[in-house]
Amino acid sequence: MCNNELNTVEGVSDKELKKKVKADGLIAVFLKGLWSNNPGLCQLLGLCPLLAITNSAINALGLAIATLVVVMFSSLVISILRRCIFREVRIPLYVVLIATLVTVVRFYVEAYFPDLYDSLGIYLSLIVTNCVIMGRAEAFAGRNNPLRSLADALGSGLGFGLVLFVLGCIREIIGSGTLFAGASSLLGPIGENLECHILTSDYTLLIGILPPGGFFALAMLIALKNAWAMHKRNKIENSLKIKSIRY
Amino acid sequence: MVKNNLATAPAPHLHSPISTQKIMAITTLALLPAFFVSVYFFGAGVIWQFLISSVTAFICQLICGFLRHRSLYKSVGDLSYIVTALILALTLPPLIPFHLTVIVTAFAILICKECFGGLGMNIFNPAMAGFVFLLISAPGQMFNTYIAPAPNAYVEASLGNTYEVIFNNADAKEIHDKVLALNNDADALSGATWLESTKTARKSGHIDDVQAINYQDGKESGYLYLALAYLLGGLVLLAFRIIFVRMVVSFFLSLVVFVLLGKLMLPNLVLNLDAQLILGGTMLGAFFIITDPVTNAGTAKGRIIFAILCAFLIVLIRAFGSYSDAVAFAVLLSNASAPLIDALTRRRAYGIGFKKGGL
Repeated sequence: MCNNELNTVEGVSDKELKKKVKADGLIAVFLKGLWSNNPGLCQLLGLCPLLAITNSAINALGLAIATLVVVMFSSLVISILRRCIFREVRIPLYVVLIATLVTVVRFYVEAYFPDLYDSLGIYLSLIVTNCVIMGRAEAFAGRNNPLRSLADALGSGLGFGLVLFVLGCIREIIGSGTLFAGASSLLGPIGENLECHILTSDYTLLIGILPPGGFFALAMLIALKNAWAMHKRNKIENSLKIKSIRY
Repeated sequence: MVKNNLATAPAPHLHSPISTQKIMAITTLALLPAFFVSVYFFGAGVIWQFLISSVTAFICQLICGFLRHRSLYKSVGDLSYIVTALILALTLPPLIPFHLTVIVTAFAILICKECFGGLGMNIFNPAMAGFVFLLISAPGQMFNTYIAPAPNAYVEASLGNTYEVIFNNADAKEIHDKVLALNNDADALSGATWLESTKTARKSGHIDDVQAINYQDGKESGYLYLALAYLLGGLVLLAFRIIFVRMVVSFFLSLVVFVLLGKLMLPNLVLNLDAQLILGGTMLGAFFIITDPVTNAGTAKGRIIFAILCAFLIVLIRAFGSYSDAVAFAVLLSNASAPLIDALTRRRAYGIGFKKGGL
């Protein structure tokens, strides 16, 4: 009978499904997090720090590195412990694990980068509730081996950090006309050479560093990514349109 | 796939012979008296601003038509971008550098209108959104490039002089002072506009210290004539039945009521009635902004509620806001609540949803 072979609703047999999942190699998992399933541009996770902290490139970079460190360690630890974690209490356990890691990172930043700590403010501690980390733990690390989880966390963390950094650069240039202002607080003496002024105050738009500017810039980035990803499909669709009835 | 933001009333639907193009053309013509009064009292900078913003708006419409694979002729044919450009030219400071006008117009057309799906789909009034965009983006330049009105201002702020300021970055202060010297009375207003100068008094809670406006003579007469020009244009629109009498009437009635109430309750914060009606963007807002057929509510009752909400917000924001005028903010907030008003005031179709036990 047909029903014995088809276990799932979509008509894909269990064997085929398993094969499909295994086909995702480490690099594919990494690239998925970095680009095609980017937490900032596709999943729209962690929007609170994404919009609140990206008013300068260096703040964004600081938060990006902190998030990357936390997501990698949390994914690694959770995937190692995934057999010992009861399904019913997994969320509180994840939160405790992530909070521990965030506390360590927070103390480290407070001790070694006090300026950055001041400018990041509460958002450094709020990494605990960052959906990117919770999402990776829940969706990937809890059901995959440590190596794959690490690759996934690296991809997602880098992807999220890249969006943070690009958004920070755009907003800083538009809003205050500088780039990498205050870089010495993160990078030390090398950073002082990085700071540059691009626009004079006559040409800056204050809205760039205000919350609405964050929404506009993020929306533009998402639109660009979608346009890039769907360029081929749109081209075919447009070629199928009937020219005489376009309006 | 397009979600309709406007409430459609139940049948009967009547067809009107007037087209979008005609509506926009008449609105443009109705704005012309105000445009000429602006040139007379604020100088020829207004003409440059209109040219810059209309050319930018035209190019933006062409780009959108190209990107959407629509016919280019139809994407610029509805003329709505001319109305947006004209309202922007009338509301922006006359001497603001051209790159800001270009950015504001592009923001209004590309993001506020076309990103939401083009004319008929936009949630926010493009011109007002552009104005607010500039107000919070470049408050310093906004403040520095205003001209206090004076009769015959176009003599000093001529096309050539204002060209130097707008395009070549010359100092705006010179023209500002020359225009100020045209006035017969030498009273010194600290702010760029009258509302701006009352802000400090309002913030310290002594609005009564502000001297009354003398509309007969001097620069304040410019505001009166501008308001009258908007009124004239509004009457033209009413005569062509482009805007609704009930919106305008309910807006003015509720504005008067709210100002009188505010005067009773917060005498130290609320401006006098004449200032509320004549200064700032009240007249422009009443006839040209809140009656925008796209961004106001879609039902008959809803439009009245929309106008009342707008008047309430204007009085409230003028009393407590940190910017000098409130019309743009009030309009944007009312625009945002228009879909909700639509949902709450939807008219019942005949025979549907009647009460139990009776028709």
